[in-house]
Amino acid sequence: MSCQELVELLLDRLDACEPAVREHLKGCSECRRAYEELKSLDELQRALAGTVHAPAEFSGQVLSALSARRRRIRWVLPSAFAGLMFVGLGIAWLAGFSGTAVPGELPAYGELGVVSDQPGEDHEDQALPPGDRPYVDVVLENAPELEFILRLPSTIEIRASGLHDDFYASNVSH
Amino acid sequence: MSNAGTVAVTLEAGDNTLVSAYLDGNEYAFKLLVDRYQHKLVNYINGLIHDYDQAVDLAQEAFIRVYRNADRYEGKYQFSTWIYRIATNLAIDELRRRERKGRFFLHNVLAFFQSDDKTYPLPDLRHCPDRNFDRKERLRRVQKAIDSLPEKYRLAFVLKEVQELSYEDTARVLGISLGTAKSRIHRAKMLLREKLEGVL
Repeated sequence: MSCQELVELLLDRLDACEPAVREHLKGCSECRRAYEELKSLDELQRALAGTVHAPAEFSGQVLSALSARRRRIRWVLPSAFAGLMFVGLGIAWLAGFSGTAVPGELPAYGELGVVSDQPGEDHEDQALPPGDRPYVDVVLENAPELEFILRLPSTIEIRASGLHDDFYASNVSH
Repeated sequence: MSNAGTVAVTLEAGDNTLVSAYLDGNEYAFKLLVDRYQHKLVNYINGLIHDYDQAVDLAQEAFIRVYRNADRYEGKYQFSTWIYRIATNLAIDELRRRERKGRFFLHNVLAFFQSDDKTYPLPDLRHCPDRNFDRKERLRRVQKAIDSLPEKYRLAFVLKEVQELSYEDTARVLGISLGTAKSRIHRAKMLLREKLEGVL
């Protein structure tokens, strides 16, 4: 067994006690030193594992944090939903009546999977029964934590600007 | 804390049994998991980020993530692997955040140039009669030497040698192959031997 082989073995298993190891250590002071140093390192590094402890109230704090989050979620989710509804209605109102583009804090277009009912089809050419309002569903699949549907009038175009990564809806019916 | 659920638990129950019991509605099982791993986790994170209060916060966050995602735990690997992985990611995120934040402060730039952490040169004290450092000082130097290791070696070394995970679990926590884990740990030990010459 060479010195390098022995050190490799000791790095892997300090408690290696095969006869060849003992024999080599007996006759090689350099490897004996390596063994002593690795043994000392082993003892010190183990001591480091016990140098700090969690505070006494740790588990109580974890459980309290969990209850607090549960309480918060109970309030936040309905509030967030109501907020989203409000914003959605606002966008729909702006798109339907003001005729201006609506910039928003929406995710970058490239991050969203946009799926329409009939991708690529021109909805203006479709014959609809009188009084029936045309629509197209747009599903934003990768929106963070949420999947929602915007139901828009068929004259709305969804555009993605490559220049600023903006995502906006505009009404082109006028 | 609810002790409901059909799976009864005892203090001696294995980690996977506790996770199953918790998923079955027994929240006491979750508390037992917290009790079992709290010291290890705080110690592990503190050893990486050196901020006790923040280590406690991050350890708590790790348990909260376990609580919330327990249904995703497959039981294929040990629970310890999973929770150490979460803790490692949280600690790394914190170190990255500090790194980003620290770049903008002049005192950190100055500290970097003045720091001896990068090469950690120590005088050769092998033949010095006063080389008998007390234990506290030796531990401090070992900790400092570990901190100065490149991150990939440090994480592997701390998980395997300080936290006493197996080679296999260390590899799983870090998402690397067994061979890579072994090689990183060996390299870390070689570097530490060099850095701690005269101290060991």
